[in-house]
Amino acid sequence: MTGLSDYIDKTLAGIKNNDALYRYKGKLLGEMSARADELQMRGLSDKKVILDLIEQEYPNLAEDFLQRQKKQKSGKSALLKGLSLITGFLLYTFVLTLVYLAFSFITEAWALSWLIMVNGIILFLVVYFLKLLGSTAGKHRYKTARACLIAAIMLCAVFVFLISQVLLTVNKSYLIFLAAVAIAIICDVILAYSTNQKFAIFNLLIALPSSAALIYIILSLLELISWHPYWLIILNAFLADFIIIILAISRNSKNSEKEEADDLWKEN
Amino acid sequence: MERKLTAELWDKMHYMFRDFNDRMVHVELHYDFRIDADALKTVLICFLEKTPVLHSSFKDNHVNPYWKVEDYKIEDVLTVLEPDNLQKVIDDFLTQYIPPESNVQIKAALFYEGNKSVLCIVENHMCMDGGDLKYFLNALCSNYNDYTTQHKSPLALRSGSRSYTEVYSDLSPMDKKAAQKLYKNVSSRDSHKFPFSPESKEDKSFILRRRINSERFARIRAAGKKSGATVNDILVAAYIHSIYELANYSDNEGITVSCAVDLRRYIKDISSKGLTNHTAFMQCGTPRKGRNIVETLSYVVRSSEKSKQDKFMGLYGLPLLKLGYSIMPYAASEEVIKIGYSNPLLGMSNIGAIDGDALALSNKKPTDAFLTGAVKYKPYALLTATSYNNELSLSMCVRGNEEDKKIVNTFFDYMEKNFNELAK
Repeated sequence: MTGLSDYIDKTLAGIKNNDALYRYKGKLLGEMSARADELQMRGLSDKKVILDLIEQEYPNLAEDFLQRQKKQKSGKSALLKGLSLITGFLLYTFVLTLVYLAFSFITEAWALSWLIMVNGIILFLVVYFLKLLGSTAGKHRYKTARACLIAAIMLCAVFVFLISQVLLTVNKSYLIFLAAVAIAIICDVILAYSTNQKFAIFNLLIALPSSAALIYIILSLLELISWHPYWLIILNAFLADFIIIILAISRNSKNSEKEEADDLWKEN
Repeated sequence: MERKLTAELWDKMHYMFRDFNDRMVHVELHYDFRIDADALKTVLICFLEKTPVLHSSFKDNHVNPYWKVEDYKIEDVLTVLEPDNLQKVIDDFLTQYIPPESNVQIKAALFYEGNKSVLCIVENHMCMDGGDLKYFLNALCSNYNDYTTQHKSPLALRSGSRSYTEVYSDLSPMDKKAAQKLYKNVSSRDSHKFPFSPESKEDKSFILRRRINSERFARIRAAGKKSGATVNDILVAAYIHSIYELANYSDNEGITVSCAVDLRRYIKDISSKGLTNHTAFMQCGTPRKGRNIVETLSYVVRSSEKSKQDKFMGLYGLPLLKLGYSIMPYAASEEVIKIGYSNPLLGMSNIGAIDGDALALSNKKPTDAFLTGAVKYKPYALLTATSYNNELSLSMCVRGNEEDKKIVNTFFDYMEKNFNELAK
């Protein structure tokens, strides 16, 4: 339809011609022509109406083109960021390998020195996830922030476990993972409240009994408390949940009553 | 590439109502000339393109349901016929059911009879309520007129957010904060109902209509004004008083009717909002049957005044529904909400006056205009009231049998009797 190409040319007349603009115009024309065909297949035969409808669906072509240019540039900088991250990681791994080899050759503790490599990489990943957590939480990307938090905590757990089990040969080192889950649950609640999540209270209600159960199991396995009657810790967590619910409901109803009273006072 | 639309809160609620009604909203407009079918097709296609939910299928995903935008042909939407038995064809068209999985959620029919036309529309309540359907019809007619007279493309239809949160958009920050904490469950617990026959597989959908002519309606309105009652109050009072008589309920029992409330009262500027549902229910009841219709009316006025004084009327329960849908996967939340939600057994929807000028096509106002709500499954009942040319239309849509038709007609007889007593 000639009307479509005229509309594209007219709307983008103020932008300097270049390869990117030429490609954009070509892509647009293809999309709009396909849309026109679709409308005709649906039964719309009036070409003027088709043109007007499509123009309404593509209102700000110039702005859209400039946005795409901006996105491409930020895409390029994101690519550069990614490349620098990979380069940084490779350099870091190279230095780490040198340290590992130097240490191993000097001490001949090959059976333990591999920890330098493994834990070194884990440390890099922990720092990466913590940085990502900071940036995603700030941009209100809560699900990604949560995933980064849990990844960072579990990687820390692996770090500590390897040192505890391999280097220090501590008994029952596996309990570190249980502790890590409890810490992850508690940190998740803190994250929810610090990022003002609407339903953070539900995170809290789930966290209390689950972390209480884990803490009870860890302390019992470490024989710091006996299995009975300290299972009451878990029941107490459910009781705490119940109290939190009651407080939340009564706070909610008090707030609405207070506002009604304020309104009456203002009317008087 | 698959295009998806968000299933909004009220979309999901109306889908849940599939246990209580067929979700179809019905329109019947009569004109004294032959409508241009091609022009109507053009307008309808443009409107469907501007409101993609109208050509989408509902995907009942157990975690997160959504609308999938579908391809269609105008023949899927519009039927043009010159039938022999016009009334039967109209009835059959209006009582049809559009499944939510269909590629279109609105169907229109243009029936010709000599030099006259009847425009019928059936639309899925999940997409929009009576309030927005009235706007849709007005826009359809004005766009048709501009298209046929000035060849102006029929694109003047508002589009935008369909979210339930739009009702809060024009509230003050303090009111908004308070309204978003109204978790109270206000669904009706009244067990009074229509004395329909038991449900049976042979039940079929029917629409019954009773007209109150303009002279009588004017007398009823005047009588109501003397008592400080609105038309809505009069309708509710007659409804409740008639139910006592129809179902032989004890005079000492209180009856509550759930009245539809248009929440667009809270939105100052609707021009950037999409077509959707913004309807809640307000409970209106009487502590007992009045000694006469006038006394019942006084109870209803008192009840509705109390509701009107509440500046958040109709907004209760929305945050609770949102909470229900947010914290669990959809399949689980639907079951939980069904436990807490009580669908009203006695409902009323006062769609209000239909503006003949707004529905004029080629400078010709409709000779008759009628809108009515969804077909209810027994024991649920909804009385719909509209007025056109100062004539009041009462309608009920039920899935029932001949005995149920008699019951509804008897109910209408009681309504008329009560109106006459009021107008004395």
